[in-house]
Amino acid sequence: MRRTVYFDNAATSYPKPAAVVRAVTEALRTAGNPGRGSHRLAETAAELVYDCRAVAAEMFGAEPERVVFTAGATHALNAAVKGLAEPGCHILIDNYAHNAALRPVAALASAGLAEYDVYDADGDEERVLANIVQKLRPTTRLLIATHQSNICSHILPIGSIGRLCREYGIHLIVDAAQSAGHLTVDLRTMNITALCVPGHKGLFGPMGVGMLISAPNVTYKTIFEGGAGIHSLDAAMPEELPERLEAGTLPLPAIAGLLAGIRYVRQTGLQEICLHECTLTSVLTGRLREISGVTLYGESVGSVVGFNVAGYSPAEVGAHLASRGICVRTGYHCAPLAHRTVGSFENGSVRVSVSHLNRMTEIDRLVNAVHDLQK
Amino acid sequence: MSDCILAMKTRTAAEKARRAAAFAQISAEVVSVDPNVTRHGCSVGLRLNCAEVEELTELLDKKGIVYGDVIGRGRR
Repeated sequence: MRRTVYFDNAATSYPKPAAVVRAVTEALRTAGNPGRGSHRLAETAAELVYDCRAVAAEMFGAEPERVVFTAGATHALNAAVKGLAEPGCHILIDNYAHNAALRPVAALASAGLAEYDVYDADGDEERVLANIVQKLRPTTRLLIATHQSNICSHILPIGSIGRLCREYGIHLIVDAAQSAGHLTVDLRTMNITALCVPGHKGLFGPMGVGMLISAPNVTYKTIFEGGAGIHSLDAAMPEELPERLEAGTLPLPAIAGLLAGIRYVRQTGLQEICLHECTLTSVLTGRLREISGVTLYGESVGSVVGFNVAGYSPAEVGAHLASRGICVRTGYHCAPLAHRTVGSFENGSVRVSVSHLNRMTEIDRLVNAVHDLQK
Repeated sequence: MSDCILAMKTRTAAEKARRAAAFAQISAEVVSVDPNVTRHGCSVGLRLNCAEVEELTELLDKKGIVYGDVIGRGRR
């Protein structure tokens, strides 16, 4: 039987590095509840949690205490949007946004707590900035930017958007679901207020953990409350991050795996990862273009390629590829705005998302399988 | 040798302070503070040699790590 080819890394990275698997197992075997006691097992757990905060902070240009662990990027986006929005404020969101960002904003709007507009993030940097400025209102308080789309490899100019936000006194919330572990992301140099990161995608950690990483002096309203291990006689959550936003027990095994995953990414090197992924997608794109009936959507050199094959629905293409042992994702990828933007809204698309663990021979298998559809 | 406990606002701040102390060759450990000592219930602190408290607080000031009062004394 032929080896499975995994091209669904935008959903979750696979396989996980051996060090990640070992770290999760070790945490299950040896650690207690972090921050809930001063015995040895609790202390070991707390130190591990801090190690992960410190490593993440170093990678993303923040301080360790500004790294809040969440259940994932969706939770982080909810905490950022709802925690920073002020009643009656105006929010801008880009036209590549995933539902993880769009729905919290839409929920605030339908509750009458905020208004929002979608800005066009297509085109070059100058155009994107002009589009944003055109949509600004005196009440605009938040701007959400999808660093890299999850349906193609379109990348927003976060550094320039950050400078614009600083100039206008607007909080910049960045959805780094598809960029963390693939591209350089730095809160300090990019003027990011809140960075929302999944643990289980480009950082190779397990599912169940993500991070909300914040600039200094940013304060949040809480979106849920509970035990924080300190100030237990107070009815309110502590004021200080990260504990303010970390109600309940942290997912220690997932955090242990995330720590190993981040170390793995840093040892491999972002430049190396990005170069390999771009090489794979560049070759894939070139070869798909040669196949009659294939339509590509949006930018395709990066880590994500979206396409359709004439005469087949995305689901049919996905099923055909699955029958050849090739894993891709089809449909709308929870990103209707993005599909409208790139022109694939009618049926969605087939998404191929690579990691640096993919090989060129796997690209060959995919291209050959798509070719076979046209025979 | 008598020990002092320096109150910290959070477990995370305490761990950050402990690591900064270790880097500066000051031995300190994160400890739970008796809930009766604070008005807020469960709390954490750094236990260290009282003779090194001033050096540590100067270091924490430099690094912008917020700390509270010296809230306890004891014997190591």
